[in-house]
Amino acid sequence: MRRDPLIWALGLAAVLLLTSCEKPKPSLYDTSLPVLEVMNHLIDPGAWAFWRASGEVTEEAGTKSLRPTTEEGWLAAENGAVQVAEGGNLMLLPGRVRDEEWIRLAKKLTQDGLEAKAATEAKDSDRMFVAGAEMFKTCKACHAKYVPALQPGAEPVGAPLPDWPEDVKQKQNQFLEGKK
Amino acid sequence: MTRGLKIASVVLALALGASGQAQAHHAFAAEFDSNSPVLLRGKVTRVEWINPHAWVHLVAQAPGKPDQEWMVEGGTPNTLFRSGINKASLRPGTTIIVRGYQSKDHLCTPQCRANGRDLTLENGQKLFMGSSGTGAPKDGSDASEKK
Repeated sequence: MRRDPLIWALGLAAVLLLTSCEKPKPSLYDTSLPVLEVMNHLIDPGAWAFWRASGEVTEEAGTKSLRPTTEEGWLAAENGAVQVAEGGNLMLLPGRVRDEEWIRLAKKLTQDGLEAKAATEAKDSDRMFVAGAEMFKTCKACHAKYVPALQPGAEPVGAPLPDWPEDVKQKQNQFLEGKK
Repeated sequence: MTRGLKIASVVLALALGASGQAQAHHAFAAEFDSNSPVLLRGKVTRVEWINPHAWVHLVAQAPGKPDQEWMVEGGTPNTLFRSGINKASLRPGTTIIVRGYQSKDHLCTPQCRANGRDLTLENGQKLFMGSSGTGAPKDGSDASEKK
């Protein structure tokens, strides 16, 4: 009886040894493409296709809606929305996740893409515009955290903005005086 | 930061810089020249109220120079609305004075391009027209930016 624990321990050690010698299973995914490539070739074009399909242009001649006018136009916007929605999922593949905030923003991107798709299916231009703005907020939040060039303190030190001309300064002062 | 991460950061920054107009919503430094500030005075001809950036088109006039068409990038339409810039204040024909930074390529065909930082309306109201967190220089135009 006193040998039993020893036998169990040896057995367990043997199992652990054999397990550790097994070759790692090949991943289901090939994530060798850098995230930037996925952004540039999938998510960005998708977002732009969606963004271009809502909003307005004001000119002397009047206001023109950017709402699609053809079935092809609606389809292009919807395709873009789906690219963004699924792009969020691609950010969650093993090897791409960086931290909890990354996960939150990737899921948010997918939600935004799905809302964009629903708005496009409903052919609701105003809803698409709101969805596009929300989508950009997510893009911006993610870039602000993970793109080094957008980190606080990384701003370029450039030439100062030109001073306002004197007549403009006077008008600015008059405006401020008028508000008092 | 590990060496690998530093290299990745540099590669990412370079890639953003090289990726052209389609990446305009990513970073100021990718498209605009922080050493080329501009001041433009002219009439609005067209405004694109589109995500992720509104674009204000104007014909700039300067003494002794021919009129020049510019398109000036602003923040998102919603950002501009919150700032007080809207369809009524930027009606075509309205005179505005804009400060910002010219595009890195300095090309003016078919029109010059700039990133707008602030503008003054005809009534003297000065408004921020950019958006925070784009990597633009801390030039004092964005009241929300940390000093």
